[in-house]
Amino acid sequence: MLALRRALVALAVLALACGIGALPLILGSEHQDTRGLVAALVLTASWGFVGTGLYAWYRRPGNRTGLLMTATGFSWFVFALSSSDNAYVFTLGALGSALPFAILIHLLVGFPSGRLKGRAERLVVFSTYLLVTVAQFFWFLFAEPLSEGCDGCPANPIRIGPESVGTAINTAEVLTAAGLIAAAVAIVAGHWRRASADQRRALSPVVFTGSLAFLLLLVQLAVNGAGAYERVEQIAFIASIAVFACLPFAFLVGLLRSRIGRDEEIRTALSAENEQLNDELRAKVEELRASRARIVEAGYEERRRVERDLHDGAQQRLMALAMTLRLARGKLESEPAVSGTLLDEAIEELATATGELRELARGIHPAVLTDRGLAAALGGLAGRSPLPVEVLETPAERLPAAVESAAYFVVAEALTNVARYAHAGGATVSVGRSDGVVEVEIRDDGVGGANPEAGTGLRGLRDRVAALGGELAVSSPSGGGTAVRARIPLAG
Amino acid sequence: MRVVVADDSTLLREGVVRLLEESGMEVVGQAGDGEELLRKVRAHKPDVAVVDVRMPPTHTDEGLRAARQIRAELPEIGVLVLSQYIEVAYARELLAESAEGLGYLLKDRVADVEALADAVRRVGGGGSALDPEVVSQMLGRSRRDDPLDELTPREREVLALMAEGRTNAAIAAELVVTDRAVEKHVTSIFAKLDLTAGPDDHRRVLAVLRFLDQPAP
Repeated sequence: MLALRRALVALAVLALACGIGALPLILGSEHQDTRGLVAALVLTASWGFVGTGLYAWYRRPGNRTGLLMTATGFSWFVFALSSSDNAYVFTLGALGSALPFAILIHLLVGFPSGRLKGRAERLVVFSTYLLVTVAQFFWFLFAEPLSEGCDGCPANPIRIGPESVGTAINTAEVLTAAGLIAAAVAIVAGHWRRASADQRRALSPVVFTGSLAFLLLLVQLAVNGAGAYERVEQIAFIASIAVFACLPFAFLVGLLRSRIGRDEEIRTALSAENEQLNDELRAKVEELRASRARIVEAGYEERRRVERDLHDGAQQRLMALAMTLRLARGKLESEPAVSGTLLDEAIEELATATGELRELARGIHPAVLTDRGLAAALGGLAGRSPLPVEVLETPAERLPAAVESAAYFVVAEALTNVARYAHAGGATVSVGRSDGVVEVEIRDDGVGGANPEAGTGLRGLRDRVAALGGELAVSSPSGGGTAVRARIPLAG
Repeated sequence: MRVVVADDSTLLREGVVRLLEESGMEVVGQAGDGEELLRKVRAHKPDVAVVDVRMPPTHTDEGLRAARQIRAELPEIGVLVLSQYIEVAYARELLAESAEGLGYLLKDRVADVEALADAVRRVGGGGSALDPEVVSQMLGRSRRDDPLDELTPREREVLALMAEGRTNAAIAAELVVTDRAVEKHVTSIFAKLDLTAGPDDHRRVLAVLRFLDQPAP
């Protein structure tokens, strides 16, 4: 939007400069009879179209009408070049003198969206542009178009052929132009017929002013074609320019009344927003896919860990126990003292095995969390931690099971890490809730410098928290202790 | 000593029954869930009910609720709660009223016949039996300006054993010191922690536990 505004301002400055540049050219012209009038009309038409066009462009960036109006305005500066006394500049201006009318036809046919619909509309507009550029050029190769009845006009420097060919071309050109204008009128009339009351409100200023301009243009062409009535032609010419000067305002009023334009603007804005949402959605889906894969992987990893713990721990101990008991049984009669020692060993071994099994089961899911909630479970965690842990705050009421579970494991993993790596003197735990979000924080006074990406433990927690729509952050400045914070929304 | 044993695992329940009977106790009833336990306790009026925390139908804290019900309804009956896990939160609930005639032990301890029989006898006699695990968790809690810091290592040991519900004689035997020495330590501990219950008071367990369990200032 900012870039657009900058471009529009630049165009406005350019139009202003062109207008000011055109002024001495027109006023200083030796062949132009009605210098003041032409200058006034050129400036009114050009600045009028550029000004209203830029405003329309700004108000309806998705609508091409503003762009076409601005182009119409600038084309008047090309026309202004025909006031020059330099033969080449004069001819260039004369060549382009029909350009504003061509763009005008484009504008009318495309109004109010500024876009052409269907082959007929495209054909008419394309032919019009062809006529005022290529056909015009060929005509100029064989004629002195503006020199007739104009004594001071410079001679045409690009003329190469006889006047008769030029006249023939001109006749064909005029007939084609009349045909194209008739077609354009038919198209606009068609638009009018099919338009709803609302759409007619938008079309009416343009159709009215446009029809008038066309009428004057037709008169001008007819007179020009007949090769007589110079005075009529001149009046028609000046009148058409005057109407032309009013046209941009008609377009602007029509455009601002138009719902189609607004709809398209909204559609453009919506589609830009959609695009952005789509991108965000795609990123989110990608993230979810990765996180889901990690959760599945974490599930397998967890099973492998439990299997390994069972295999290395309880299973080995029970096998050793069976062997110890067999040995004790064997020595029961021969060496009762040794047998007794072996039995003591077996009891010891058994106690260790049950202890290990208990911790393993608690690690999978702490029963107290389900039975009594976070406060009780975190109190237990703090009590079992090898370093002093203070639980500062816990919610008084029960939270959804998934949230409690995630919060518990965040604290459990964080405290395990504190004990292992932080060289901390103590840690604090707090779980608070505000505005539908549970905030879990674990702080220690250790060495800091923890890398949250390094361990699989924290990554797993992050996924677990993310699965509930929350986020996990680790702040661990070197030497400044570590803080693990998780925010988990209550309504996932 | 007459005992009712409640545990939904037949294997474990019969193990406990056998151990208790070998220690010369009379098991007058067995139960597989909380409801049945309450019925048997009301019917037999035993000296002690040995209760597992997790029982049907919910497999969460049936035993705990039944235990509290018994203590409310029949306070003269001792209750020894056995748990797969030791949670301070559970201990706190059980200790809400008093520590008299109350035990809370890790289930593993049943493997130690002496310890189990001792705990049942203490609870049946109106005393307490708290698992060392509970006490160590309470002792391990972080406190600001911790008065426990002023205790000597030996005094901490004595404090822990007191909290478990041991008598001075039992503490003396455990630490291999004289009864007189234990008494001196206990007096010193009570002075340092500014506890009001008398050193020989029957309710000293609760006083000590209350002190250990008080919320951080």
